[in-house]
Amino acid sequence: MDNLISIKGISKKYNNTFVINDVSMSIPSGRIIGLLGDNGIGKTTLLKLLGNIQQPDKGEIRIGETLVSQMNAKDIVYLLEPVNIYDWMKIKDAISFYRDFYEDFDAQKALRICREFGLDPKARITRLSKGNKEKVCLLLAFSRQAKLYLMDEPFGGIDPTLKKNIKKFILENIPVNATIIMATHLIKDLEVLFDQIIILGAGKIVYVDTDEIRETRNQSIDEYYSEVMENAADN
Amino acid sequence: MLQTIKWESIKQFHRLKWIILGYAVLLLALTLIPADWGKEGSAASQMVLMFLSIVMMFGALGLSLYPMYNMVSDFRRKTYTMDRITGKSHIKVFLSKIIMNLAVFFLAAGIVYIGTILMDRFSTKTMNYFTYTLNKPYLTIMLEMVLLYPAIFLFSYMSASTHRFFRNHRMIGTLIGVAIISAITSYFQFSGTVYYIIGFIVGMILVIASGRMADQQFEQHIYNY
Repeated sequence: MDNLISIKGISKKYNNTFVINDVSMSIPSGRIIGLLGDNGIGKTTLLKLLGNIQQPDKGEIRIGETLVSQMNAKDIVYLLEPVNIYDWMKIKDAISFYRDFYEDFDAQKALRICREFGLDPKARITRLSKGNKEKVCLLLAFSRQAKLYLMDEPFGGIDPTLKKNIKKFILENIPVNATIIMATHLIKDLEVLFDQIIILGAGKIVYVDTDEIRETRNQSIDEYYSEVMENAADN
Repeated sequence: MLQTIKWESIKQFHRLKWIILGYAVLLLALTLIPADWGKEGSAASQMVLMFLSIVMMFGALGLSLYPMYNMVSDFRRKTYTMDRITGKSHIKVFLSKIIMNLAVFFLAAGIVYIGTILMDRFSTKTMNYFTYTLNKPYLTIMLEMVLLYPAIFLFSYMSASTHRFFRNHRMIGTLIGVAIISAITSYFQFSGTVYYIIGFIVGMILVIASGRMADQQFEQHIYNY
C-alpha cells in the first residue's frame, strides 16, 4: 500500500517544553488510524502539524510528494469541534460557509446526511444537543472529498446507534484511498474502526497494525493500550 | 476575496445587529416624541432626554473604538479555527475587516448625524442635548478610524502575540506598541492630502505586515487556541 504521509524527525515545543520530540513514521493511504494517548501528550498538536495549521520546529511532513508547509490548509479535512462554529450559525449557514470556501465540498450531500441524521438545516447549531452538534461537524467534514481527514475526539457525545454504525457511515462517505487519523479516548467504543493505532506518550511512538494486536497478541486494542502505557510507566 | 468579504460582513452583522436594532428603535422613538416635550421644563422629560443623550454618546464612542477591536477580535475566539482551516490568508481577512470598518464608520456617522438633528429639536436656550463638533476634517477622522488606528492596534497586537515575552501578556504588549507607534507618528506633522496619502500607505503596510506575521507565526507558539 502506498504511503500517504511521511513524517521525518519532527519536533514541536511550546514555552521550551517539547510536546512532540523527534517523531518519524510513514502512514499509508486508505487507512483509519487511531491516535491514542493521555491528555496533553501532543495528539492535538500532531493533528495540527499534519493539517498545516502549525509548523514543526524541526523535521518535515510530506503528504504524497508535497511538503505539508507548501500545501493549503484547506486541502486537508480538519474536523471542527462544535465550539469552533460561530454561535449565530444555523446548519444551513455552516453548509454555505463550507460551500463557499472548499471546492471539494458537496452541499447536496451535506443536506442529505443532515436529513439522515434527523437534523433540520434551519436549526441553530448552539441550540442542538452535544451529540447533534458533533453530527453537524461530521456532516461538514464528510461532505468533502479529500485524501486526509484529521479528527480530534470526534464522537464524545454521539448516540450509541450512530456509534455502532459509524464505520459504515465513514466508509460510505470518504474516497476509497482516503486516510483518517482520529485522536480519541474512546478506545473501547471505536476500536473496531481502526486499521492501525499510534500511541503517544509511551516513552516512544508506538505504531502498530490492529490486526497484529487482535490476531497475534489476542488482545483488544484497549487491553493493548493499557499494557503499553503500564510498561511505559514502569520504565 | 469576495467570499471572505461576504462572510466577514455576515459576521459583523451578527455581532452588531442588536446595537443597530437598538439605535433604530431609539432614533424612531426620538422622531415620535413631540419637539416641545423637553421644553416644558419638566425634570422627568429632561432626565429622559439626558439619558438618551448619554446612550447616544456611549454608542458613538463604542462604535468609534469598535474598528480597533474588530481587527483582533477573532484571535481570542474558538471560532478562529473555523476560519483558519479554510486556508485563507490573514491579509485577505484583515483587508475585509478594513472594508467592514468603513461600513461601521458610516453607521456611526449616520447615527451621530441623525441623532444630533433629532436631539436638537429638544434644545432650549439653557439646555443642549446630544450634539457633536468635528475637531478634525471629516476625511482625517475617516482615515484614522477606519484604517490608521486599527492598523496600528493590529500591528502592535500581532507583534506582541509573536514576541517571546509579550505573547503571554498580549494586551500589555499591545498597549506599549500603540504608545510607541503613536509617539513616533505624532512627531511627524502632516496635514491635508499629504497626510491622507502617507496615512493610507502606512496603514496598508501595517495591515500587510500584520497579515504576514499572523500567517507565519501566530499559531506557532500558542498551545491552545
